[in-house]
Amino acid sequence: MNYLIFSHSGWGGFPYKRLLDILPDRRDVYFIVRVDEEEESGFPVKSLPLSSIRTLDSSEFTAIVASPYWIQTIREWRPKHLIAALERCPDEEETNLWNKYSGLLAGYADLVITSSEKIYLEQCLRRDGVILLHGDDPLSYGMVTNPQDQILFLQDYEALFVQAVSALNRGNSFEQWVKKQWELRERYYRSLNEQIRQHETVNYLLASYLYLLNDAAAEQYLTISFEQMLLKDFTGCLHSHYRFFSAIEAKKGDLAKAVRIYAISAFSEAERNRVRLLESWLEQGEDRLVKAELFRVNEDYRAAIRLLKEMNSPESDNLLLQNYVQTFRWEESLPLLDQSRLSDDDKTVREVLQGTVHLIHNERHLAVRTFLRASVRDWNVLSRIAEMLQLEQAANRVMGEGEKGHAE
Amino acid sequence: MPAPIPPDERNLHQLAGRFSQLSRLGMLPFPNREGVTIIVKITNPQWAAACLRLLLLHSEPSAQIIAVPERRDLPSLRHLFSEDDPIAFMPYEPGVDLAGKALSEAATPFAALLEDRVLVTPHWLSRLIWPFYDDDNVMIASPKSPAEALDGRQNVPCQSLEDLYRFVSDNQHKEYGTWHAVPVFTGPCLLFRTSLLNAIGGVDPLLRNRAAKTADWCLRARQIGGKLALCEDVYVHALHSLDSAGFSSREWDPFCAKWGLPEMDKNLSVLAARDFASLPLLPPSPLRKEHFSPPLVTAIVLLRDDAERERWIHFQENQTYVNVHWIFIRPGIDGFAGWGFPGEKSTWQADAILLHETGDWIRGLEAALKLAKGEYVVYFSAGPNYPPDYMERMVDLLFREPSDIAAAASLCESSDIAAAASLCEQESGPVRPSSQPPPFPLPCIAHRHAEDIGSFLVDRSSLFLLPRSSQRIVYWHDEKNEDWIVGGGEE
Repeated sequence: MNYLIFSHSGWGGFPYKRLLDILPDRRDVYFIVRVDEEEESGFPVKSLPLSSIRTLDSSEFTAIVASPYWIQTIREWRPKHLIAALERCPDEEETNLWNKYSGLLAGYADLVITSSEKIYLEQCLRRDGVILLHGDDPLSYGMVTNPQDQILFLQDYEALFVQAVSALNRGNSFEQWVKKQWELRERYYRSLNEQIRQHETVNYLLASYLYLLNDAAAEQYLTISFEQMLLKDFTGCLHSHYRFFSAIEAKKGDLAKAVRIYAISAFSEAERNRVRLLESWLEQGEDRLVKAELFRVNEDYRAAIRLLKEMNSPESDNLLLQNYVQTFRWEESLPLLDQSRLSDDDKTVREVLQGTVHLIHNERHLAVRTFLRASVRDWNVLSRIAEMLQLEQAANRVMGEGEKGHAE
Repeated sequence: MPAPIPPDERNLHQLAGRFSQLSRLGMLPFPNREGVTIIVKITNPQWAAACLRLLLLHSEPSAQIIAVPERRDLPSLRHLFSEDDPIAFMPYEPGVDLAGKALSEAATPFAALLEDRVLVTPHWLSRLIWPFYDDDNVMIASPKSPAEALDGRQNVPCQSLEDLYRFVSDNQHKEYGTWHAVPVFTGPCLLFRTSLLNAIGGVDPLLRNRAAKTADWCLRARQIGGKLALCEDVYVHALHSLDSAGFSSREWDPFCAKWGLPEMDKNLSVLAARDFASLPLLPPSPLRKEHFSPPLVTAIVLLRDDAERERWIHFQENQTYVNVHWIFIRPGIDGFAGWGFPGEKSTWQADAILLHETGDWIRGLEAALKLAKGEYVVYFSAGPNYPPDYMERMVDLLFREPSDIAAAASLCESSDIAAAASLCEQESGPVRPSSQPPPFPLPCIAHRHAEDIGSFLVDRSSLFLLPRSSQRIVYWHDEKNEDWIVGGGEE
């Protein structure tokens, strides 16, 4: 497999150089910015000007994209496989823009990699196929021989990355490796918990991994975390923890209890309406809808989407739509929106999603026209045009890094 | 004025200085002319290639390496090495203790046993051998490594072989020549006197993991007065597998039963804390010749009528396993005339049992087990589509894990699985205790030939074995990707 790497701030600031050395099944690895000769000598990576990517057969490439601002280029070039490398927003970037387009990029990716455990857990609750580029085990988990015939030892997360990418290249499922990483993280937090007992964050993270592994023991550790937070006067945890308890009960199958737990932290009008809706679904025996909605309100969109995709009713489609919108799978949400009878507000939302999808597909004029049309109903939509310009500037900046390097 | 150094001590100082000088220049000869046999257990082709290369690079030229495959599906590695390299590759044989076979043939006074996860470093062998000359009672020596559980556990965090060499080079003089006796080893790299094999035999094949086997063998060596030397001046790196399930106390049950322990703790610290060496001497595990060829397997074939026999016969002819004792069970009174017992393969033997009452299968099975001569028992019927290497693979599973029962779930017929589910409910109600294995359709299992393997059940026309809860079951999960899942008795 050939790899094409899209960085955010050039070769010098590229944080995943070691990964380029351990890529599985590699033929050629190209980097879309200038790679200094001296530095390049240590890594078997070829520089490629952006303008040359059209000469490459994209069906033979796996792209690793380390900046959300390459999204338009990627959608146009369409590599065989897309690996999105998501990181926290750099200081110099605008947070909303970065996070939104990171979410959209992840929505198109086959595999998401990140060195941030916060982003990792968020993504694990949004989608399948996420690998954390961080581990706490100092042992060597296997080895690879790099193109210079050097033996490299892999840490656990590197071995998981190699296995997952190798499975991706072969068209096989990589879920066993994703699950394996949950098990490794669970084992790590369990041992940490044995050392520092009663720590709210350690217990919360342990509960999170147990939840992902469908282990009912999650509840026990979440309870400890909750008690510790209350003891330390972190009262803001009521909402988040009760949602989590409710999702755990939903996974266990006690839906009436799950709804009751959710109701405890339902303060707003919208939340109280949702409780009434959940109760009526319970009465009607619509258990899967109840489950999916409880997953969604705990931000476990992955479990919700999995459940809703197997259903086919106006209610399930409506919930699926909300999950797609919240996980930035906007392109998939559009057909569902088209099926629905839309209120004026919904129509505006639809236009905003459609306009963004046009933008991502490099259909600039269609995007502008769509945003303008929506702005007739809601002038706030005009801010999308400003955001569009922001994205273009950001994209030009990351592209400029490459072209500048080659022009020098 | 300093006191004059006595002549003997001065002599010693001078000799030590000369030794150091020669050692620094790499001019010290290996202290053993007969050489060392190095046995490497192969589990992973990529690791093995690196392990063998480093062994060739960093061992003395007199060392002879024997590579023994630990799995049946490993590709050959021979093409990666030249004819001149002192490596012998043993062919795979199902149900055979290949490492034991290699050890029994070792003609050198020292042998090393390694797993292919071990990556040796410069001077590993020339340093590991000195404790045997320092002290006649030293029987086993081990380097430090990340795969050792107790004394001797050290992990050098390194991203590459270069990092590893740098560490070894920077530290090689720090502990030069230092070793101390330890209570036990559990790791994957041991050097030992081959005379030890005559005294205590090889490793106990019924123990379930490497740490247990190594610990048991070392403790038996200590029982006869042997010392275990941990060399502080040798570090070998070790690779770990993502597939490792971590510590399981059930894995240690046979070890604990053997050494009178209630249970094993997660850190194995009880191994170092107890004085096992003073316990009554445990019997040796002799390296027997009969373990060095494929064991006799009794195949019990359940056939209802002539039509089933017709369907079955081509599976039988295709079976590649060589050492089989066939027992046929069929209802009827007219004997087996015309059934044509297999006589094509000279090593095959056959017996037959007739059922006078059509439904009396269970008595027939009990009689068959009394007749069975094999070390393992495999069941067949005309239903499943057995691959030609079915018996080889079942024997392999039972031997390698090691386990009491092997179950090939993918060969089960759906009607048998449904019947097994209904039997589950009859036996223990809808909620089964997690420790209780399910009943297994008989035509998809094999087991060790033991006194009490469990009980046979019959449901409509299907036959099942309900194992005892203490038995260890290994599942042949997926015949395509060889993805074995160990379960049942595990948890």
